[in-house]
Amino acid sequence: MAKCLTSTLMTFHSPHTTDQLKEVLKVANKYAIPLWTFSRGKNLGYGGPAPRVNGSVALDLHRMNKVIEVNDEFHYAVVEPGVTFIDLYNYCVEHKKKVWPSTASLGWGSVMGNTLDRGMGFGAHFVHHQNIAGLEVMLADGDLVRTGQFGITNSPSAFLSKFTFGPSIEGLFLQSNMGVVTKLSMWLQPQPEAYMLCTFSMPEFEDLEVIVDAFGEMRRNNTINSLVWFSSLVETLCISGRRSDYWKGEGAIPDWRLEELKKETGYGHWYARWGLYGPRRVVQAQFEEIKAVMSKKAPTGGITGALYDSEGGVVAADVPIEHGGMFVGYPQMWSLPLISWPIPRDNVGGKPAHGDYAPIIPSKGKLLLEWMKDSKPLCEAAGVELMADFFMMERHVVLMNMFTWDQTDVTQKEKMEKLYYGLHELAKKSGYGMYRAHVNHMGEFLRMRG
Amino acid sequence: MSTAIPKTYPDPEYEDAHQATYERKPRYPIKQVLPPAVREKDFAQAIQDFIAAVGQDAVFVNEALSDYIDPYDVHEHEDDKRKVPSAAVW
Repeated sequence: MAKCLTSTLMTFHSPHTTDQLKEVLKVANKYAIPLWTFSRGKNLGYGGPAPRVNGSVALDLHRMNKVIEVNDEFHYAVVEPGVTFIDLYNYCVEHKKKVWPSTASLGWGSVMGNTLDRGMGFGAHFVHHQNIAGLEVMLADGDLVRTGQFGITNSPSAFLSKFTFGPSIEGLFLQSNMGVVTKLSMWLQPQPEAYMLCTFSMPEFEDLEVIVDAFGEMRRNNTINSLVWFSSLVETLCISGRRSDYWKGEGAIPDWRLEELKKETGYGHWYARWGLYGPRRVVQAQFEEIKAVMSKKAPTGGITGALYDSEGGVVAADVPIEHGGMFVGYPQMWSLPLISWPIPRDNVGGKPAHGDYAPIIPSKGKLLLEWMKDSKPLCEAAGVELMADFFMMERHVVLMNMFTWDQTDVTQKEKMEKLYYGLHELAKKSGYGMYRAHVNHMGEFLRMRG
Repeated sequence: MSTAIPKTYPDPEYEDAHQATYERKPRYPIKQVLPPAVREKDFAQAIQDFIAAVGQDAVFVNEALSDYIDPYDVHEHEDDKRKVPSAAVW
């Protein structure tokens, strides 16, 4: 049973404030104790809330959870560390704010924690750290620093501008322990007049090359100015089942069985999904252009587009979940059970767990296909399928090689560790760095630097 | 005196998911570790100082640290590789 340490009679309020935070830092300094700071501790797959340095004191900021401001004239939010994606969404609904905050795939994480760890959402503002305008940070000595225009006490542009007079310092506080970020501003998607959820699918493994090149170009020439999210067949299957529903044999589902499943389900091998946001005529024109480009470059593919529009702005919760959800900033928990993929239904004691190897790779079809081909046998040797998805920016993707296992099975855990190192060797050979590293592996990525 | 970790999410769906992910009774009990190069006596004093700063209900040690370990730690059965905090403050 969990219990608090209660060897004193002193009672105080819990640390909701920067004053209390300052006191905590003072104690840590006095005894030279490293602090490991997080907001919601949902960095799952990368160590969760566990510290990089064993024996650190965990500094949990989740009770600093005020939404300080949501502005729907200039479309930004200012939040404290503990504000979750669902908190921010609920705040906007409750206060009738005409914005669609970006959300990660699970609604329980911290907006700030995700952003500072270079996390991503699913719309036009999906690269969260690139939408930071001003930060407030407490340094180790208790000093408060505000960045950019936020540094000017009465600036009307505090959260509107990324310009700084002199060097920009926000980057010092991303994936870092150089301070405790206490306030974060983030630009938001205006609630659009029209929204379209589009999909493009292709049937064959090798089709990845053409699809990546075509979409990469449309990301750069601004035909598409939001995330294009790619997922593979196995990811599509795991949304509606577990491995044991599709395959009774040992280890990963073999290719011949995947081919059968493709025929049975009608799924493509690769799916691209993206949202289009804006005035109706602009959204329709974008879609027409994409359709024309893809019918020329990838005639065996299939495209769909589901349009929602409303003069007063589309209401995120009104978009059916299969077309909305994270693409309209409506936070969900539905994707958490996906990691139960490796647990057979009759194994009631099994506990699902997952990890990711997440390299940054240029948006070039040949390189993506090469990565898939090279990483697939490593996954299969570890008894798991190639379960890959990737997030496409203008010039590169962040790829997630996801692996899931039963946490109660020591043998599986050993295999996953081996797989991780196998993928790391592959990435090193090509010079691919990671977008985020597991606490157990941060040193290996730093050592990749020349 | 509190005998359980307070809830972290007001929404029951979120709280259930949280509790299912961070087991209240980890299969491998969390052993006390000290911060690097900090003596036990100093650590005990530091805990008292943290309590003075934030209150007795906001400092956690030992089994109350179950929210602060990696639920997917592949090294959870190996004490020399497992990463655990010495205490938590909120």
